[in-house]
Amino acid sequence: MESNNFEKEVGKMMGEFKLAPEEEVWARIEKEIASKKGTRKIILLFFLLALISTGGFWWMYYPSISRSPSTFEDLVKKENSNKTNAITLGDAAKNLQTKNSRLSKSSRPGAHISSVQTVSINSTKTFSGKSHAFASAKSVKTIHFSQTSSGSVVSADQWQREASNNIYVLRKMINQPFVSDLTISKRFQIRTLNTPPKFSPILKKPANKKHGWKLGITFSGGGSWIESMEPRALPAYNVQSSGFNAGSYYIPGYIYYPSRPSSFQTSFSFTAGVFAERNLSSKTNISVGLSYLQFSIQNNVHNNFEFAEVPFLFHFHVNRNVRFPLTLDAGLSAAQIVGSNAKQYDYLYGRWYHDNDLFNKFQANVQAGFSLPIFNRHQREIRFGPGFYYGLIPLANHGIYDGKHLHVLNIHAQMLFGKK
Amino acid sequence: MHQKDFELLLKNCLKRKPAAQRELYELFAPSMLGLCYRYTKSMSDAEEVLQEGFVKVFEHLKQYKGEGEFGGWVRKIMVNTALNFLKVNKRYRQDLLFDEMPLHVVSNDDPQVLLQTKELVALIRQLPTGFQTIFNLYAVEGFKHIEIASMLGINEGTSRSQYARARTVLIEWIEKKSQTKENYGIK
Repeated sequence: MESNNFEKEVGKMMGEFKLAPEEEVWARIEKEIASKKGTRKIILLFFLLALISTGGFWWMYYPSISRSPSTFEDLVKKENSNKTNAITLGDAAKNLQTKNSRLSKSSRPGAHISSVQTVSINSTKTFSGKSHAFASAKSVKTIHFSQTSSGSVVSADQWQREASNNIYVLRKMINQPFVSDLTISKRFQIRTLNTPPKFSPILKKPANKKHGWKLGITFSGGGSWIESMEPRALPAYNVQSSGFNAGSYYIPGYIYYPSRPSSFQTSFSFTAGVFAERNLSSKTNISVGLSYLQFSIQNNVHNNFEFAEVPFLFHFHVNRNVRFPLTLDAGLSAAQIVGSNAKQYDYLYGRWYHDNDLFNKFQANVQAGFSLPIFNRHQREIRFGPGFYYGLIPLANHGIYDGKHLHVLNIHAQMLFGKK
Repeated sequence: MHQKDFELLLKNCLKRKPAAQRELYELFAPSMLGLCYRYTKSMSDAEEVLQEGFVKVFEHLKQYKGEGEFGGWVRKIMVNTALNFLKVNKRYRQDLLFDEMPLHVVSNDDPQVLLQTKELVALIRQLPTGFQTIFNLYAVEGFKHIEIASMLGINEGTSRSQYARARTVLIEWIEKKSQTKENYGIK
């Protein structure tokens, strides 16, 4: 007999060996392909949101970062180079006269004005022992010049452009009415301020604490579930009727009807952690933290998953209501399964077993929610709100948690330390 | 299926058309389930490997450049998926720990296999998982011992010795089974 004949014969026989899979196998493949497509959509959506957020961030900050003029004189020079649709200072002076007779006709060659508004400043703030008054012009795109009622132009060190595109005009002489004639491309409001302008080089005030990190603690609790409450479904398998035995575990003559685990039920989950938060602007905060998350799900047994997670969140101030400033929270968290008592089910032998290696240890979750401060007048800020949590990565790729993503709907409470 | 029809089928699968994916699955599923069944100890595990393998096939279809037979490419994915399943699954993993043992003197007989395919598969699956895996990889898939050693993270010598032992045991079982059938006049 030829050498390796045995292998050749076995190889040939095995090549012809075919088995018809259950119809359900294709259904599961189809479902998994669809879920991967869904995951791709979520990732795409996330990147789109990130792009929009970045774009929004850039839009909000770009003027102050790259368009903010270094001095008033620079600004005048810049504007002088573009005289289109501009009226001369003489015309502006006439306008000023009609609006406020106190305004003098002093002129500044080459300066241009497209609209004028008179404003009086009432509020004052004391810095370094001197009183200062502030006015802010909101949504102002450009300043051509500013002028006092006595006709003198507000000097270069008397105004400051702030990040949120407000113009602050600083006056040392507050006993006279103040007239500013600012060129505005959009709506124009001048309001008095109770707080000093940010980033003011004039005042040389200490580093703005509003932009420092604040520490806080967070707790949340709520219902947790997975998208399909049925464990990974498998057909009842009759070992004997299939015509094959089940390897070394096969018991001749024994027809095996495997049992099934019960459906998953919603259970209670909670998180506890610490975080640090800082202002990015008057409208946006960011926070990063370290939390412990216990995700639970119930079937025949109570299954807990313990995560250590690092959440990274953006907090957008939705409204400007002083008493109830609503915040939209959205972000991502990277989480690691640090422990689990979750049981797997062996359909063939009808037994429960424990194997944490089946789980995808690294998880990425997307979070969203709203926060509303309570005890707003309290020294420490305390916020409450609903939140939603979704696991982008399935809990496992095998076993009864195959393709299941974690979902949590919770109520969270956060306390920020440090003065508001 | 004609080559042109098959190429069209693959193109449609690349476009993620469900009907084409189903057709491709139906074309290869029976033989691939046979393969998965040989590596596992239960039909549900075999179907799980098949499911995972086909998802990989559809996910990575664009990586198939038309070099070599498509069936061979699918088979390779299935074998890798099965090996991964054995490594990940606790019930199999313990049996995949190979002792570094010296080569034993074993039978080099080349007996005629008088059994039916199903009976031979059943005997292969009765081997301990380590023997079963190496036997499948060497005798059926045609991998060399050095390749098997690399795939399973063992020494080449271990692969050889395990295969030799698996072969000896299997031949013994085949002979016994054939003898029984002869005695009872079963074909």
